[in-house]
Amino acid sequence: MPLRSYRRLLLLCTTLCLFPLAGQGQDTIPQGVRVGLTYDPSTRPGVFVTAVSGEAGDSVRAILARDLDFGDRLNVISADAGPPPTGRFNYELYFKLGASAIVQASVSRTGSLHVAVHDVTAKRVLNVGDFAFNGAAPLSAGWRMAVHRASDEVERWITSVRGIAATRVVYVRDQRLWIVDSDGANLTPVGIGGTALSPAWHPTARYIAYTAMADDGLSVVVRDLQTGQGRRMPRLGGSNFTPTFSPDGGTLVYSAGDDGTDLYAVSAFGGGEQPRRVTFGRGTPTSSPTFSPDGRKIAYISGRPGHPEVYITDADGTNAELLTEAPSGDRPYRSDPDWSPDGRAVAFTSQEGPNLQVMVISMRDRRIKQLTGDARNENPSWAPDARHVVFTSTRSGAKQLWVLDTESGRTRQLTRGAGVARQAAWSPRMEQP
Amino acid sequence: MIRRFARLLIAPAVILTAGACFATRGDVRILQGDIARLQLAAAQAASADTARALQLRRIIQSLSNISDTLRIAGTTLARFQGDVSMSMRNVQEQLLTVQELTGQSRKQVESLRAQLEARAAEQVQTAPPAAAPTAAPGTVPPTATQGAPAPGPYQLMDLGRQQLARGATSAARAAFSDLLTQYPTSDLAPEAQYWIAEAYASAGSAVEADSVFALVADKYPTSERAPVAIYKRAVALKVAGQTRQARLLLQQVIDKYPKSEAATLASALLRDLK
Repeated sequence: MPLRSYRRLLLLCTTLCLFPLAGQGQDTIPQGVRVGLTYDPSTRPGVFVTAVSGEAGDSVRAILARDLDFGDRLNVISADAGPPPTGRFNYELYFKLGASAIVQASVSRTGSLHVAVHDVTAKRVLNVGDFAFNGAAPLSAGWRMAVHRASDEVERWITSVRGIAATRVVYVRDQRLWIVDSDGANLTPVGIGGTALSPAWHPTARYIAYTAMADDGLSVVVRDLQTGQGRRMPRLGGSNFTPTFSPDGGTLVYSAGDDGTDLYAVSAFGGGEQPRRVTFGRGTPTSSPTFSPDGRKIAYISGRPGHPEVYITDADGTNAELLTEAPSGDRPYRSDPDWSPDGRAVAFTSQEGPNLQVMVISMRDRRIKQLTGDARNENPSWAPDARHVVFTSTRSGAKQLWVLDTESGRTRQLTRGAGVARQAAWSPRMEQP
Repeated sequence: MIRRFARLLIAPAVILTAGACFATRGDVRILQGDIARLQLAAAQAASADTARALQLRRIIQSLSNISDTLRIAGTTLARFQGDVSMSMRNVQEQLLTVQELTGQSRKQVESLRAQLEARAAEQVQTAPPAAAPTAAPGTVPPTATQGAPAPGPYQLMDLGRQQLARGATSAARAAFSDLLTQYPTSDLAPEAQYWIAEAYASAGSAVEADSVFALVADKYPTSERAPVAIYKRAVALKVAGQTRQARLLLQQVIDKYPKSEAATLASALLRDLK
């Protein structure tokens, strides 16, 4: 081996604060071992994020590494990044660190983030991409979202599954709506005058619908997050609440009524069509609709069995059936259904003993799985990857939002601060503006 | 004159006393008006005839007592009406709960029957060959030469619904078709036919779905699936822009099955189409 290569290896070892390496002196990959980017969902390939050159490069690296870690599909190797890499990569060294991929990023002078992902096993560049900041100042909301988009693409290049970093969560704190990025940063109030509850995202993430509490009762409002304009939906008699958009964004379904409520479908942006009744609660409360991703079915809460249970119906109102069958004599409380974006499951809240817990029911075999066990957990909402769930929990004392990886069971706290955080709704992916 | 007056008052007082259970606030008001008028007449008579005045005062006292009784009866009645209304609501809720539980029980029974059928089939499959001689002379035991015994209707229905839930629409149709072929007189036949149509609809085969939904309504007009099948056809026609045909079918649901939930849905959709 030439002397230059040895020196380069020594330099990298020093800068990366390497721990003792197995098989030192052996700089080639053993024959017959395959650890490349063939992604196995049960494993988490190692990924190393190098130092990032350019303005606010350290922040870019931190956000990229955190996003990839929060995605729960990659194992981010934590080591001192050292200076931004230049020249040829010593892939063997990264392999010894446990990395299957290297993420190399730089902030260009033209105002974009250039990202390259290297396949360590194949010793080549796997993919590259440029992500425009669109003039957003470093660390501003738009700038952060551009980095989140880069993270999601990196995750897709490596695992074939796009990440969920470029998403936001709307929730209720002290009767007001707030929006926070998926990593817990960029907390922003939604400037609504009165009390607001049960928010829901439009599939484009441009609008939210919510229940507004006014002097004349509860009504449903659709708000344009770009213009700040709010539009009150047709009042259907009695209280109107718990809205949800259809997957095509054209229809809004919400609960309406006085002494017992039913679900009604209305055109989300006005189309002259009459409100169409979807359910028949016969004087019992019916609420909290959520569409299947193909828009053909709706899951909701009904009190028809004498206590709240999750039902499903065809979107045209036919074939209503009980989804969460409780054992005979059992009278638990079940609520807050949310259909997973892949259509395979419905998450919901269930009363389990003295506490509420987050459960999920498979739409294939109707098997129920309990996702949480510590403290009181409720109001689940799926992330666009159909793997992560945001929910309200008292595990840290006060009610705060937490994120759960349903595959590994790993949790992280999303919100902090005073007040009760609840009724979270995870947004679709924020596409390029 | 006073005697006649008293007779006139006693009659309604007796009627009201007898019918106290049915007295309303209006009745009490009328009686109180009569008492006031009688008091006036008593005051006038007092100057002329003390004995009659005394008699009248007794009648007034008696009527006042009746009035109090009626007021109490009225209050009791109002309370009773409230209780009855609440009880009726409770009964309605309980009825709804019973209906729901019945529906659940029916599903559980169907599921159990499917499990029983599966278990029976397993037992037949694992039965020792010694069982063969029990077969009637000249017949061949089904397990010996025909392989696994055919699944029962509940098993097939269960299988079809599971396949449909998985999105395997072809496999679901196959299971439902098997049910219809092997058990054409089963109670589950209308359901099977209906779910074949649903399987086509899930696969995006609108034309096929429409024809099978039509078959459900024609072949099983008394089934609870018939109005739903017609309604489904109407919805599909509306989506396809054929509103005139959709209206006809919706009206058909309302006319033929006025008490069905599909009729309520059809009414709402018809209003929208007009």
